[in-house]
Amino acid sequence: MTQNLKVAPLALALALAGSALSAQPVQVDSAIKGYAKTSGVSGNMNSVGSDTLNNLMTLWAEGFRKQYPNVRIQIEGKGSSTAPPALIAGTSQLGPMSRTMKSDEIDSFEKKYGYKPTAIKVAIDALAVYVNKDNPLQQLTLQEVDALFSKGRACGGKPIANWGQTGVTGPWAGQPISLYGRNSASGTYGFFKEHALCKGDFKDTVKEQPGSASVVQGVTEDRYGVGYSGIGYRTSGVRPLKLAARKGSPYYGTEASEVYSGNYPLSRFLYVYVNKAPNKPLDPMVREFLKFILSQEGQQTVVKDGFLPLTAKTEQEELAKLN
Amino acid sequence: MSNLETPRRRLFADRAARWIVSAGGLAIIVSILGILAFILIEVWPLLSAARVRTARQVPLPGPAAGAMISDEHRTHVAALAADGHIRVVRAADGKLVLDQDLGAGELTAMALPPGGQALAGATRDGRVVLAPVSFVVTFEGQTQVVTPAVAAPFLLDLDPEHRPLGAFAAQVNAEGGATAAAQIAGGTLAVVRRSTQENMMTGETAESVERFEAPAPARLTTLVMDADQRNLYGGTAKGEILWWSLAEGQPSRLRLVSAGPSPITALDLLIGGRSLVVGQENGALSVWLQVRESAASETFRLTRVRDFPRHPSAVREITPSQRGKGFLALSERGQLGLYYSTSHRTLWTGSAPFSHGTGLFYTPKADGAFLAGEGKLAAIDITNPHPEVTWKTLFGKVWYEGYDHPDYVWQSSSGSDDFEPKLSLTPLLVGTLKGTFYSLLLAIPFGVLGAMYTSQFMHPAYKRVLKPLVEIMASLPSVVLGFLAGLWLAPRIEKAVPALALMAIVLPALVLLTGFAWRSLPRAFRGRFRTGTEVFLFVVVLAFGMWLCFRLSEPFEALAFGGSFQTWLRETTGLGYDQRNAVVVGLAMGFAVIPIIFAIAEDAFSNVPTNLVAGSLALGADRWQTVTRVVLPTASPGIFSAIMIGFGRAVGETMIVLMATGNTPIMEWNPFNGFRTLSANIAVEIPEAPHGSTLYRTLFLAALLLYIVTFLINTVAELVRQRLRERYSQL
Repeated sequence: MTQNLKVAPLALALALAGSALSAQPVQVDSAIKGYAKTSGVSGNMNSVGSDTLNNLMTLWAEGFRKQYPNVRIQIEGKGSSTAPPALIAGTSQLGPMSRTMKSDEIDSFEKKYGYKPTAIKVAIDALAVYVNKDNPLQQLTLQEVDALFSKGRACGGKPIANWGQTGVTGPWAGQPISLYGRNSASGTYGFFKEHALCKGDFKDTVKEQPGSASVVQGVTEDRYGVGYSGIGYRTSGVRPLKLAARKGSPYYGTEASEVYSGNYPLSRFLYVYVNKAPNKPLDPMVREFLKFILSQEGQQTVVKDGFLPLTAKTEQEELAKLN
Repeated sequence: MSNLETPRRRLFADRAARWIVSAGGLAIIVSILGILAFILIEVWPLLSAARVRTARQVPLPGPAAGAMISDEHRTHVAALAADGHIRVVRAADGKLVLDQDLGAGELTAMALPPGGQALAGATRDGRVVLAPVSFVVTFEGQTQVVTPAVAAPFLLDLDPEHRPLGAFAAQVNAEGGATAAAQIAGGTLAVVRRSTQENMMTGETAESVERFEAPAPARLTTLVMDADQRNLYGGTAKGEILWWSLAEGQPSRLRLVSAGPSPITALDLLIGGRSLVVGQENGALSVWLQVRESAASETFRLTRVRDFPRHPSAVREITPSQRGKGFLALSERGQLGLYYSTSHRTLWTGSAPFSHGTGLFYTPKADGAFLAGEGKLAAIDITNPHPEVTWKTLFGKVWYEGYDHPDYVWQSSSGSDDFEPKLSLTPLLVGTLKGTFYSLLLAIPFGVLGAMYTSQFMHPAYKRVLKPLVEIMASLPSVVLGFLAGLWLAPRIEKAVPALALMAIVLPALVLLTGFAWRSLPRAFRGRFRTGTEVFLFVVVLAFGMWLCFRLSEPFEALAFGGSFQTWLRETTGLGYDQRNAVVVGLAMGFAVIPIIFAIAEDAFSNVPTNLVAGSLALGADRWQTVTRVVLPTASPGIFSAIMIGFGRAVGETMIVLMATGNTPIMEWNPFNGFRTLSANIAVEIPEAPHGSTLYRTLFLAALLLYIVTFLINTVAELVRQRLRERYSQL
């Protein structure tokens, strides 16, 4: 009984933060240490990049500013592809990205600086395929997802144009599918294309939304809509589908356990790219900000925003990259 | 004296004003020309040609090298020679850095698997050797140090009887999963697959090797396998291309197509493994794709999609780029060519540094090549910034990888390296015109007729209030309109299409009816109202009509569309209904354009000389006759420019279309689906376009196109206006 009472406030807090939607509340690994404040951190910092990470960056910046009131951080999140140009031009110090950099982006960076940019893993995301909350559909295979969204059906499925072809029966069966996606600047767009569409091309009828929140909003308003976005953007108006990697294999949801185990087929790391010269220390403000992200506080923020925190092992590896 | 003071001051003010106005005008012209120049400067490099230049030649020790690989900074080259050694030399001076014997004896053939990081060779005793080569970059201080390394080679036994192999292909992935295929002495195709599986509990790696055989129809001259180890392609001496799928392990049923009678001499896959480049004995060079047999079909066949100009002699080597769909081809007598598949461009052809090349490698960053032969290694520099763009790719149909047929496609970028950019501006142009058309469809009648009524019939007291009110409409930020249209209006319109259709019939009918009813009322009754106040009656009537339409919406939908408009639309016309569609944008953008057209047209109507109107009325014409026969023609130049300026506004409008359409680059005139305009496309994609990249310059080209369209429209509008004005100046 007392145990239950102890759990209740925690569950409530998590529910308020919007992540208790998944079955079990996610816990940050206690092996991840708390943030230790240092002195002499002040100034301005810019972050340009991923929209998926936009809210998270804002929350981290807020938390960081509580530690260092003299730090000012500006955050712009139009899409992961905007991160490399800004990092290369030097207009930003932090480049949040929801995919890894492409070779030609690394090329351009290397051309200017003579070394490659450094990627720091900051959180884990389950890229979710959302349908309207009223949609009876529960699950899809990746092949079906490809047939929904892509022109060429590179994964080899049969064409799907209405909900009936996804296995829904009743009044929904005859309804056409309305597709929502991200614009091409988005890392989510690129990741989805590579991992769900077998590198095929999106249908021209996928409505390209400028942000993850707009995709979710679109699916909320459009009963017959389906779209993809990071799990942190889940709202009560939409429901993520269970996905199976291939026909015949089991379907997995976006619960933390399935994502960590790698069962959920569209799980991915989220990154922050920085410009770190080899054998030179990072700018102290950037270094402390990344340390903050990789601290217990920073990872709890991840949970608060609906994404999944890093494991202690990954966190250690990423911390080592900062020095 | 004081009498002279005033005129002088006036003269000065007059002159100053003239100077300021002229300076302002000039500044505008200069800045517009400046913008044009800036756009042109950014677009110009798209047209630049490729440059290929031999940088230097250094000696290459050992026997002739058959396959090569270099690091991405082009500092070192690893070459595999017939004696089974990999020799790594420094590209700058030819110094031998590493010489490693693979321990497989002499080799009969050597290859660099497409997309791979390993060198492969076929041995005299029926085996295939695969040696992963890596170049580790470290930093000493700030200087970059490249250390080449050759990992322990994989040996796969293809022929249990250890006879020399024929044509072979091999691949190895990062996890050590390797596949090799070769034609063995009897003519059969043998495939050996080595797979590894790590045991999570013990950390041990278990290795398993499977061997398959499949019949081959003829002697194979060449074989190539894709990086995923899923497809195997071969060429025969009779000019046939063979294709097996290895997805199930066992090679699938063979598919065979003929490329003409000349023997296949070289085969390679472009990055991504979907385009097969075929070189033949007669110098023919072509690109083949796996294409669906029909749109709904599950089976594919190899289809010849492009032919490049023929080489004068047999094509010996084809080397793909690792940055895009470019490739190099070398022919027997030393002709070297640089090509790009998507744009179907022959970027450069010329003589190789020496005529007997044995190995060719296109460097990882596509900025150079290495050619081995005659005991030498030649380093070639390639500058080739924008090979993807031609007029054909920008405005014509292109057959892209994974497509059933050539098409106009805009899909500019993605997150992976092997993506084929599709930069067709045609869907964007069509989208721009579609958006403009649907918004002007609403804005022209409302704007012009509204202006006509306001200036000619409305009581001046109301006009004084109404005109500024309409002009305030123009001050609404378009981002607000776009937001409202996309998130508020679109879902409501989806439910209200039948009501809207009903309104198109009911409202004009109601208006006419009310007009007649009003006229039939006794003059004494009508006289009690101020002239020009009838409009308020119509406001009530229209409001009632709209309410009625919404009430009748459901029964009307049930009656005319069988219960659901969207289903009816799909079933009768085959058109889809999209929530974010041209009707929504037409309404929102029409709302933004109406005040512009209204304001200018209203001025045009009001500026018709009163003596004309008075004369017309005095000659016995009634109000309506005067307006249609005298005022309208006289004001027509002004109305025309109002429409044209409205058109210009609609063409360039960005935020409304950006937010209220799905930005879907489709080419349909269906009012119930979306579109993507040039301007919205620029806004969406410019932040992600790296400075100086092809996409960046193409977006500037889109801007140039917009500029030209507006410039043309304005010029034509001005010319027509001048003519009309001349014509009606006599009135």
